[in-house]
Amino acid sequence: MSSTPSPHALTLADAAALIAARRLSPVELLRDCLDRVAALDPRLNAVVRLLAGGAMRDARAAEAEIARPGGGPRSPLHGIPVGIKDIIDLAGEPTTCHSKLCLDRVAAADAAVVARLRAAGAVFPAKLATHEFAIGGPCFDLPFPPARNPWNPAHHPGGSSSGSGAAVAARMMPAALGTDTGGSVRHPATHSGLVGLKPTYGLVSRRGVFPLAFTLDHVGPMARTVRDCALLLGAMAGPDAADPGSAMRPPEDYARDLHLGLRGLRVGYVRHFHERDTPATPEVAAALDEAARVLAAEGAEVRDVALPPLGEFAAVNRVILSGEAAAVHEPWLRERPGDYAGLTRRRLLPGMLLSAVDYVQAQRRRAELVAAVEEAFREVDLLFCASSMDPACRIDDPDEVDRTYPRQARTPFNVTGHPAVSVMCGVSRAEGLPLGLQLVAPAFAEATLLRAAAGYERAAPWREMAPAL
Amino acid sequence: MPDDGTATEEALAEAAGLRLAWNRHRADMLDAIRRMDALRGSFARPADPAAEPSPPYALPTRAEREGRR
Repeated sequence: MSSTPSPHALTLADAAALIAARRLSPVELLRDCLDRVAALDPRLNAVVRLLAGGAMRDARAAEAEIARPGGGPRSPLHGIPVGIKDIIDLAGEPTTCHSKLCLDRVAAADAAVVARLRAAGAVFPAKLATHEFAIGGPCFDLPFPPARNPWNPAHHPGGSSSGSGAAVAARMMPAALGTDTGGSVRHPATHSGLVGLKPTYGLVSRRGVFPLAFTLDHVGPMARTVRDCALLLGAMAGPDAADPGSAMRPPEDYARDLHLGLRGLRVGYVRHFHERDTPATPEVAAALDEAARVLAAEGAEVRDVALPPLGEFAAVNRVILSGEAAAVHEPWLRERPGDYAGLTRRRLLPGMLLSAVDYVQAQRRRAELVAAVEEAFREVDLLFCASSMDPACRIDDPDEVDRTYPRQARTPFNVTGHPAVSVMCGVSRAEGLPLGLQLVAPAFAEATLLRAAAGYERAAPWREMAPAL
Repeated sequence: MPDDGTATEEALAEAAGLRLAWNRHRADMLDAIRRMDALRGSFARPADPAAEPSPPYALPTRAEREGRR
């Protein structure tokens, strides 16, 4: 096998093609990624635990299997380094949840999603930073520092899958797993200039993932391109009898329609989310309008669609999340409240004061919100809306973090369970930080969702942009 | 009970089993009570008394949705 100039700079699909052609070794790829981690992570703090030894052992095994006469890659993920958000179990390694409370919590087995990726041949070079227990925001009073934005390390990279966003954007690894309960895959994808997919609730098993809120939690892929996310999802999805929320649906080839483009798709623009409900900055609003123009120019029929106000979705998400998270954290909140970061404690304590009636009312309202989104899908194939209403703020400005984090339109699709993807749609002029949009599809229509996202990605100029590191 | 006007809040913290948090993180507890009060009225309650919750994994596929029409 011969070397390539900069393997770490390859997308997952490009690396997979070179590996399949035996022009790139998984060992070379991993070594280059590990060099990249060594060079950049001291500035970005994306990695909580480097797993170089185990990953190199697996990469060597992949290299041997692929090089064997008559051999070849098991899947497009064979020999591909995939980072793991540190609330997802990797057998024999601690799942710290970025918290003092879990520093010694060693996983006995792989999470279901890790087991699936391992079977597909992926290697796991690192456990990645997260907001503590996947809630809150960047904190400086935890055992590990917060991940920073590769486009501008003075700013946050989005969260809670913050390390996943920072590591992939910095080209430390071509892909990573995140989790999404109120937008935590799509938030770092938006702010780090990546593609982040929250699949339909139940499509990807949550077994072995530390829960934040059982009925809102999703596991999703983060990568640099739509195709990479489609390839990852194909390996991640599938039924799991041990996950009570599993949809019991077989995985599909989610990349099968990526070439079809946008022609003929009906796209509903949920303009009121960012124009009336939670007004976006003029720059974000302009980027969304320009993206709508691109969708139409590529052949989509774009029309305005109205959903219930964004605040309704956000409040229902917050009540359900608070109640379910408090159930998970109750013993620690009662006995060890001082062992959380201050911000995490402030996010978790309200759920302890919630009444059963409030929680059930939120679940009842949720059913109405699901019905409202389902009604919209009678008229359109996809929804299009904002992700964040602002570019990422400075990481050391807690007031601005507190103000801007909730100014987003991602929680609606945790409440409803519909699949949603964030794709880059611009760059802020002042800070040079990525902006993102969201596309949303009916349940289990990931192939159509990714088809549309790929059509936009091809037509827009953003995919070629990278942080200057 | 304290005489700083927080007797109600202290009772709420006590009822929730959060005595330690009340003693050591008083500002966070008061903030939590304020946030939860604000959240309670922040979404519409279903008008139909028989409206039931529906888990997200009950989401229909497109074919199922169209079959229901």
